[in-house]
Amino acid sequence: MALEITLHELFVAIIVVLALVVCLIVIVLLYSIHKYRSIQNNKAWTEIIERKITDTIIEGYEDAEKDAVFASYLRSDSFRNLFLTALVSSNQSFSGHAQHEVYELFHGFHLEADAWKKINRKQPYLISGGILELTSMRVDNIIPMLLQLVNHPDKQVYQEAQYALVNFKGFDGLFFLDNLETPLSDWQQIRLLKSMKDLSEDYESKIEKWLQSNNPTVVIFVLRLITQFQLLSCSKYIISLLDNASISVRKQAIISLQSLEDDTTISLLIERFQHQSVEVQIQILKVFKLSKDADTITFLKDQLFVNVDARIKILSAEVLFILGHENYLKELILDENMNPSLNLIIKHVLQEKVW
Amino acid sequence: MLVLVAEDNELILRTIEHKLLKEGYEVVLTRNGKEAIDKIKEEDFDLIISDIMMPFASGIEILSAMKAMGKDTPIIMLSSMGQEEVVVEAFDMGASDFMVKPFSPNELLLRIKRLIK
Repeated sequence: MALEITLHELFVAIIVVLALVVCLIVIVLLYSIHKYRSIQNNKAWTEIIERKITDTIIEGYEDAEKDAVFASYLRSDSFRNLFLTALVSSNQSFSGHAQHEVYELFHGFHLEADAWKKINRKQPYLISGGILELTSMRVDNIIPMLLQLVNHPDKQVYQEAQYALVNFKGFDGLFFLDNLETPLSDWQQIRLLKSMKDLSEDYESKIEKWLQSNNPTVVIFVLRLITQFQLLSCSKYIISLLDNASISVRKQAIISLQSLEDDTTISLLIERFQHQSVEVQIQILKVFKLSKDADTITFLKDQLFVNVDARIKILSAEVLFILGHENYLKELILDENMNPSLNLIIKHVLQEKVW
Repeated sequence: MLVLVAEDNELILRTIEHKLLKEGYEVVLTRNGKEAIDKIKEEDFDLIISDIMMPFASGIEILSAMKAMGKDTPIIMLSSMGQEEVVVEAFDMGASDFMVKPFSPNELLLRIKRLIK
């Protein structure tokens, strides 16, 4: 049966489609106007907030308290949120008296409740935002809550909780490393290391335990911690990591050993070199490059001939050059019996270094 | 006394401006390194306060441009944590002093007074 459409039905259909298009245009327009206004508002509000913070830092908090105009803006949740963000940001820029004035603003305008509200929300970005705000404003009532949030399933939340714990409790806040199964990202490691000012008295036993963790990122973090605080007494634990299953751990162990270098380090690395993967061997050669130790010369000359990997040969030649053995390398390329590929490698290194 | 402040963080810029104006200094503000270099070309400042990391030209580039212009205006660098190597480079290039963020504006003022004296 053929489908028949009357002119009337066609007309109605066109009208409906047109009405839908018009509705869509109106919705997009309204949304754009709303967005534009909120951007404009944010811009104007940011200026007001920055002026308020600057004035408070310079003039002191008392004047801020009497500011009825500013208080009227605070009735808007968006404004309060923007103010809170600006306070956290200014707290990261200023210290001393200025920082104290920022705390005064936070407490004086009762923003603590706003930050707490975020902690109780479901969205991870809000919870982590709340943690950051309360930590930044030194609200230590949050510590018991952090002990739970450090086990939160969301990465954003548990990372912020880890950072907050270290911020409040320093080295003791690192207790979460005991059972940490999730990876500690490089960025998180840097944040944690930067916020560590000192160690607790029983640091060595904790470090020894963490270095035995099955989580390679925990071991790498602790190695970086050892390097940062120059914990010479921990060298013995690092040496055992040169046999660790993770290549990344072994590479970091070599970097840490270099930073704690003593008269046995170079000979130890030479001794362990042969049993390592190429990646780790490269790391060892990088350490030799930095240490510029003459005890490595014979070893490096051997590597030029014995090692099969071109990367090792190149690095060995580079280190020899840095150690002042340019003439030795030049003599090698003049040797007619020289292996052509080694000849090319040395020529390449000399060319790179000379130019 | 004319002071140039080069800083891309508006809050820090405004706070330093406010502090300096209150102490009776004349202040010129710039929000990026390139603008700062242009101002240094145009005017002779008694002191420069500059962030190390800024858009278009860094604090190091400002120092290098000053060297090329033959200007030896005292300059205080503002750095963030973890920029030690850049700070060392800045000192080698002729920076007079530096402060690490977060910093105290009062301490900055003391250092400014010491340098200008």
